[in-house]
Amino acid sequence: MMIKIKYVNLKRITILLWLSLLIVSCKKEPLVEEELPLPSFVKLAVPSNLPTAPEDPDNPLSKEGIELGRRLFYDTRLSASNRISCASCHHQELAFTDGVALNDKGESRKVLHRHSPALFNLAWANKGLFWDGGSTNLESQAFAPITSPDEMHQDLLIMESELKQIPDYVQRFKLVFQDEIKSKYVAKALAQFQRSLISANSKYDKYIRKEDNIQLSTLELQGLSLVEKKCKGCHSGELFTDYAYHNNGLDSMFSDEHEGIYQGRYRVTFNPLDLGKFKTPSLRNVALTAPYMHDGRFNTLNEVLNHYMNHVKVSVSTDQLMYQNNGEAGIPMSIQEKEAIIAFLNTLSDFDFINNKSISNPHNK
Amino acid sequence: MIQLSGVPVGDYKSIKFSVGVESRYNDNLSLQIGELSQLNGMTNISWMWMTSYIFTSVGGTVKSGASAPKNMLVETGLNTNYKTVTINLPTNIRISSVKDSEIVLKADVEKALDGVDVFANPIVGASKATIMAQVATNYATKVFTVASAR
Ligand code: HEC
Ligand code: HEC
Repeated sequence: MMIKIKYVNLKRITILLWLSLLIVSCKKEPLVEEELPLPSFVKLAVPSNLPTAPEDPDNPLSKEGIELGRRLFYDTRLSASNRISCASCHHQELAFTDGVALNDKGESRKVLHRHSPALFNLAWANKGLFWDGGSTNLESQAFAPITSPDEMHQDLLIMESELKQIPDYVQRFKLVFQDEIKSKYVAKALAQFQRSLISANSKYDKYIRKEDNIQLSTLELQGLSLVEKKCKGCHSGELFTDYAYHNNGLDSMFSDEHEGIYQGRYRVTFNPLDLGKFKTPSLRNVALTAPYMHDGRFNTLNEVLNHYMNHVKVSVSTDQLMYQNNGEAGIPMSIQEKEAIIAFLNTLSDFDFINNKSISNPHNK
Repeated sequence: MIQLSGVPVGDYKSIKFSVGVESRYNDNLSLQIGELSQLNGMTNISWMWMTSYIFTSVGGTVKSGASAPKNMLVETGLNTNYKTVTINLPTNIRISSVKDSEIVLKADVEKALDGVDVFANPIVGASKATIMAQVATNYATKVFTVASAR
């Protein structure tokens, strides 16, 4: 075997030396020439039935930061052709999913391998993003769609220079980040906007919080107690998800094609017990977010429930909670119980959220 | 060449450095310190999917017998492959304000590929976890030696 080395890149070696020695010894504070106005820092307004949201001290939320993120989220300048924005695949009226199983809206027009997930209550999603959790946080995640050839395929330098041509953006970045426009601030602003997308104003929430005298019907209440028994092991708590990874028995073969995309969480952990595990999606807004699952394979909630009843596939990683049928695979439900569950799931739709003008496209006015 | 200034005066018997990006920065691509950036090829879409910078990268061609050469690209990344290397100096080195000191490190890149069949696996990245771990261990244990210290 003969190896011919063309190039080697070990630049990263310098980083630790930088940190441990340089920074300690010769930190120079830049001279502040004039005091810039500060943005108004805010805390997320979390409804009383949700847990407190973790904060990110490296990207403190501000009113102006959230608004800047909103403007960027809907701005097609983030894509190479200036044709696609984040909202091209994440539509507000569908709780920020896109209504199709697999999307071909990206720059390459290639069909993506995964279904666009809903975007809400992301402030709590701190166990990883994407269906397999490969992305660590919203601040890092944004770089993937912006640069991916099959999504927005943007060159980050071109993006910066296009944004710098808009005086309004120059001012807004200056106020929020006290600096000129840089791609890292685009990611941070997008993250702020997405953290502010809280959805907890459904009929169910109003019932739980005893607001406006809202009641659930007998059928809906029966559905609620069935969901608590059969589903909440994973779709847990008031967020209706544990943000963790489970194999709910969709498949029993996990091919390693396309950089392991069918292998789920295994692609990230390389633990064979994580084969075919995907992040539990929230049941909130689920009546609005068809089709379902990481590849959008089911068109209706009825199909989803039929899967849980009759088609759970068994493999080493199939979750224990998928064996609710006296130890056999499947979650038993009568036809009437299915109807009750679907009636309850419909009470989780948050119409205030999907109609909220303060998170809609600001460029449409 | 890396220039360090402000190193405390004293006798030093080893040097310690890390290969890679420490997790605080590797886990958040928006915290860019020093030369870190998504630009300059420090990460790419395949690695951003896993939220990691590329820690090391060796590219070239590999040939075995009469078969056609293959392009080779062996990369490491991910927090588990962040390695700290400690190397003893042949003799103690005295850092003082009187003169500059210099340590020359040698990196033997072929050693990075020790134990890896690069003809069978010419492309190593995040999806080849075991091989990547081997390469990272090689960087930690055998790639670097001190050529001179004075
Ligand atoms: C071409 C369609 C497309 C575009 C454009 C797009 N996305 Fe997505 N988005 C997806 C798909 C598909 C996934 C799921 C990917 C996966 O899990 O592997 C996703 C996943 C996400 C997630 C992870 C959510 C979770 O719960 O794990 C976030 C956050 C997100 N996108 C935000 C954005 C932002 C911000 C932008 C604009 C910078 C954007 N998306 C642009 C299709 C798109
Ligand atoms: C073992 C954990 C677990 C249990 C129990 C469970 N689910 Fe799920 N559910 C998941 C996971 C994980 C996914 C995503 C799977 C994927 O896409 O590969 C999911 C997906 C779904 C989806 C699709 C959501 C979307 O946006 O695509 C619905 C709807 C759903 N489950 C409803 C239910 C109902 C109703 C029950 C109870 C009858 C239930 N689940 C029980 C883990 C579970």
